[in-house]
Amino acid sequence: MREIYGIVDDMIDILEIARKTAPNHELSEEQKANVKKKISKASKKLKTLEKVLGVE
Amino acid sequence: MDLNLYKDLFRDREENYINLQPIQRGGVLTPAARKAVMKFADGYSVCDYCLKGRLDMIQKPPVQQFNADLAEFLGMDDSRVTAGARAAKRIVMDSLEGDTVIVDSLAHYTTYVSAEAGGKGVTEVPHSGFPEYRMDLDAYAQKIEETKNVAGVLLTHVDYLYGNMNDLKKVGDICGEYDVPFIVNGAYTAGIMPIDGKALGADFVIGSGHKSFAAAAPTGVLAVTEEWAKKAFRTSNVVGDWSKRKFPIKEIELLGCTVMGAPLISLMASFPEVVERVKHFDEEVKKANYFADQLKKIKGTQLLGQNPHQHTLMHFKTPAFNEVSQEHKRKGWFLYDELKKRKISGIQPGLTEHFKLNTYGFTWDQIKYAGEAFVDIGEKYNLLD
Repeated sequence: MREIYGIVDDMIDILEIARKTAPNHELSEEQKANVKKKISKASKKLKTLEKVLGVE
Repeated sequence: MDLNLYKDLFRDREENYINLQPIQRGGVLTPAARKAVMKFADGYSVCDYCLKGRLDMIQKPPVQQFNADLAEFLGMDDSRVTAGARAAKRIVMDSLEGDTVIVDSLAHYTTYVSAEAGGKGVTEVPHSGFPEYRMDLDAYAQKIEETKNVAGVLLTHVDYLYGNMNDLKKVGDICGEYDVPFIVNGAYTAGIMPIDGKALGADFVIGSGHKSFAAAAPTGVLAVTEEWAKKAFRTSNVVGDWSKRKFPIKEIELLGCTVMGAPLISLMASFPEVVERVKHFDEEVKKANYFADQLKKIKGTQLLGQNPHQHTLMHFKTPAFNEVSQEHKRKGWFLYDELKKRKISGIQPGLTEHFKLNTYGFTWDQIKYAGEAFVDIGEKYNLLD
């Protein structure tokens, strides 16, 4: 179940960006790229998780 | 009973607001801590490999090493994690011999109550009163001379009311001269700025995990010298008179084991970032003073305590906001409403005459945003100088 924690970790990294840009969340280009990267990583882990749990 | 009350407990203040709440800033978790908490939130989860029967001896996760590293970080010989700074104070008060503890008169109430719990009286060192509330540190020597059977001297490094920074070395030297135990309450500083306990003459350094180490509550820190470790962390001698059971490994004041699970793991996981962040405290102070300068644009606003300030916890007197509240239909709540509209939180609702806040940990952009929000309110009500 490492995938679940990996996805949560990716979301926590995005949460941190949301916190550091509160309250208006005007992200820099670097922050935007980081968010995209984290979402992409989490999506891949979700796919693996589907396989692990047999819900493909 | 309505059990629905406990469903979906939720908070998103840190994501959607600039939260200036005075006691919350230094306890905001690092991402590393938030991630670790997810894995160790189950009750006894840090105890998977408790092989010796005592929390502080666990090596996986590295609790034992953490106690050593925490002590080194604070310039002391040994440390334990406690259930808040207040629990650490209680241990100190139980460990001291003597009748009276000399304290600064802006000490937190738990300083007084823990002394009381430990069977000690309290003698106060006075401060200068409005507007600076400067502690008369020279008076410690006089108080030591005047007081019979002094148990120890406690100095709050930065007080909770005005955020004034006290000179620890000065009082540490006085204590050294009189050979009196010196207790540093660093609840607002240890984990925020560098502290080198033994170099300051401290016998005990107390810290707060949830105030200043980016940790979940309840977490506190008690760091001690080798000499006082023997007393503060002494082990049990009790023997059951019928069963002959005994517990020689258990530390009495810690009742064997203390903080575990999510709070402890958050303290440990944040530690690398905490070790790094104390090096940048000067920048935090710059941001605090910039913010204070913005607030001072509002007529009559006064930063109480040291000015310029030496810490991010600040207390402002704001008579202009108070005047507005007298005529406003929302009375004192007008300021809360105006701040909420501008996505600022953490100022105690209803307060306008004076209030505390803390700017620790915000980016420069966020500090500027918060300062502008106050100036904007000042402009709206024609309060600018």
